[in-house]
Amino acid sequence: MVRLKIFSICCWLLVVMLQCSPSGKKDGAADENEIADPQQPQQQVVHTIEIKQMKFSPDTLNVRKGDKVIWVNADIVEHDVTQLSKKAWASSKLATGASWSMIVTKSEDYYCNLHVVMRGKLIVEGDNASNVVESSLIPICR
Amino acid sequence: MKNLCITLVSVFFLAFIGSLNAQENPKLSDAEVASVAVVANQIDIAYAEIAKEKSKDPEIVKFADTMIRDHNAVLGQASALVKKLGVTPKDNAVSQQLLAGADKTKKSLRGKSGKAFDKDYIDNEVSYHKAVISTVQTVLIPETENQELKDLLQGILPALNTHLSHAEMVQKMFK
Repeated sequence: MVRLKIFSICCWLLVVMLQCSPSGKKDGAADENEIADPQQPQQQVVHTIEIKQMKFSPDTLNVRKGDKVIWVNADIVEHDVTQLSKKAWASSKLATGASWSMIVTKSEDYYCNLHVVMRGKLIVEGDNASNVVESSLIPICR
Repeated sequence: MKNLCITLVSVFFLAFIGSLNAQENPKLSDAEVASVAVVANQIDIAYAEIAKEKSKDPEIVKFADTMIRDHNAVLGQASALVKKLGVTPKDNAVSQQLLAGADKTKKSLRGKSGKAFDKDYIDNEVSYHKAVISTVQTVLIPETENQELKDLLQGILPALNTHLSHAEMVQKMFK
């Protein structure tokens, strides 16, 4: 009789535990209240900027941090891609048909160091754009 | 005096182009258009080579390097196209006028040194690119019959306009 009581209590506890389990989904259905993990990295997007007729196209590009940007020289002359304010990064000279890529981590202005009037801008979502400097304020030399 | 000479040469060339444009039917064959295009590029390369010899200013040298690189690229494209089309560039009044003006300008530039040279070189680049852009737009493109040659001429206009903007930017440093 005692064993029967113990068995009944165990069964009752098992049922209660199963009902309270947070992973107790029925038939694998998704939990409607599930919240995306903010730490989960977003999938990298690849963007292409064409250099053609002495312009970066598009000349302003909105990206997310970690996205990849590829510059393709479709022009008749060589170009390069150089960070504007401090030349912090730069491609080599890109011949017609050549390309260069970079992972974008912050908003920045850039230009072609061979044709200094050619300018472009990368804007990273959520960046306060502290790295973007008004182009007209940047001296081209000296 | 030599500054005045360069300016007069440029003004004379612009006036010459204007007179060509004012004629009812100024006729240039595609072979003659090709010659003008080739000569115009060669002249600016020659100016740039003088600048590389004489200037010590990094921005002047950098600009000259860009002119040599870009105009050689255009020459390469032009040469490939005339070969494809079976056209032999033919000397004509416009290309002769370009060469005559260039001889005077080169002589004047070679007579200068230091900052005076830098200023004259970049002033001439501004004037020369304005003149060439005008010639391409108002004489060469309208005169060209072959569509591929016309497309090439239209295709080099953005580069010429960018060169002009670049030259004007450098010019401000020497005022």
